[in-house]
Amino acid sequence: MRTHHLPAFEGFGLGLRPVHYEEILGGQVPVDFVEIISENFMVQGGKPLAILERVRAHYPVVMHGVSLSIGSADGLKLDYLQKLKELAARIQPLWVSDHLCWTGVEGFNSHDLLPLPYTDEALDVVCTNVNVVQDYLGRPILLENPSTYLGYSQADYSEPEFLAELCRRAGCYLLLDVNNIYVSGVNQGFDPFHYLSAIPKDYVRQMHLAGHSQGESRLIDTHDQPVPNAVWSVYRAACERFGSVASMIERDDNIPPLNELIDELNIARTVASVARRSEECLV
Amino acid sequence: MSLLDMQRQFRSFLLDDPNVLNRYVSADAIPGLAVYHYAYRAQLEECMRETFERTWAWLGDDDFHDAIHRYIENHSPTSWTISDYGDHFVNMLDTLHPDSPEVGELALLDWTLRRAFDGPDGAVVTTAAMAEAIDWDHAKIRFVPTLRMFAVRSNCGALWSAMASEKVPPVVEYFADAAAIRVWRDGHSCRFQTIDELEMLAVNYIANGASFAELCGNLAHLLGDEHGTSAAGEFLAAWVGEGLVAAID
Ligand SMILES: [Fe+2]
Repeated sequence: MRTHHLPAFEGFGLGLRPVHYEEILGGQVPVDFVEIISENFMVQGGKPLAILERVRAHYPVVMHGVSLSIGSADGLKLDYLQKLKELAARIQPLWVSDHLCWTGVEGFNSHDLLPLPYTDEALDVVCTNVNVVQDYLGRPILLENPSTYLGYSQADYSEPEFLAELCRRAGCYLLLDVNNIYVSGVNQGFDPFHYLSAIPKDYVRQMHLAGHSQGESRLIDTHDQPVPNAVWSVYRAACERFGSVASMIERDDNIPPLNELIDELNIARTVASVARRSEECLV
Repeated sequence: MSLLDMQRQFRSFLLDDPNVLNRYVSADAIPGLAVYHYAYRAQLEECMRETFERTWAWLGDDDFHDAIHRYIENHSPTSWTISDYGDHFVNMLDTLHPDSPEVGELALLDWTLRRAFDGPDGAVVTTAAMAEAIDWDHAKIRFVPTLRMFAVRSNCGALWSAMASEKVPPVVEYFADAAAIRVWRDGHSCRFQTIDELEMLAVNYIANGASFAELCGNLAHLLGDEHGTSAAGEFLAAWVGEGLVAAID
């Protein structure tokens, strides 16, 4: 295993969504970085790639994928990795991220972020796959804690313990989604603040903020509404623990005008700076 | 129980074997399983609605949803990209609607336009460039890489255009003669054109490597010397005007 160090990047960003293309392309939007869904741009040509290249000329970009399937027991898909590497070479992102999950097995792809059992065996599988990806891409990756809707009866680790051990063993980093922590916490009955305290301080490179909705029996990670107060509280605690980490709002549905997202991002800036000041007081 | 076994069972669960995961999860996880079961289908349905938007408009909600539900039950996704998911839908619609070829043809048009949208970029020959000295005896025409052509029996192109501009579609017509649709991307605009049998032949000649002179010869064979050359010239002028030609070398 080669070790890959990833420098931190501080700032506040938004996801690149087609309804905001024109404004983002103006280059005047007050964001420090832009996140793309990698798969939408792992294409041969046309408008999406042309837009992305213009956006990249104005802003740093981070690549966020949904199809890596880092937890597949039968290994990774090489055609996918090849396309991912091509896009990274083209865009020169700050980093490349995906989720701690599996999406398919033996040629089947569910296109959903399916939960992993947090067992020793799964940890071995994920570590092996992370090593393959990082060596192939020649860069470290970030993995995001997913929203989960069930737990398995067999577990050797809690989710944050699993993530911590994964980072130590495979040398990858974390994209901490504080909404997912909250959603999974409610669904599975754990305390989000307790979760944060089990995450090692040095590996978090990015945070996601988002909204969710109440499903029939579970909170669902819908990304279709503003960040609720409960999630802001988790974010504040995360800022206190992890310091200035690149943070962004994920909005994928019911997408409001860009200025509303900028206003929401300004709340994140305020919460982060209040957290930082209270940390400084403690020091 | 290995991770691989569990993932195989989870796949079976998603593909509708409801109890197969019960030994991996506790009883209170059943509502959580339902979330994944629902999300798998919802995501594929959304993909099909986006990919086959005009087919959906043509069939209406009930028939379209029946068709995509049947498709989802019979086709599990295999590609890393969900944009490949609908690749057998046209065949299924042809089977479901054997006497209404316009249904499958609309779906093929939806599908091909979607492919052109993020297909490969390439240079385009402008009409102005045609004024330059070209050795027409040896010139070869290359089409843009997004060009696709397929035979049609119906006026599906006119149906598609009417629905795209939210107009009342014309009545369905079935052509007496062979016809085709060519689809390509011009800059960032995906375009299509319904063409007759002669142009279909001409496009095929060029796509299979014939030179412009050979195209003239082939068309002369069909239309007579004078008409053959002028038809080839008219086709080429139209193709260049529509952003269909990548190079003349
Ligand atoms: Fe996220």
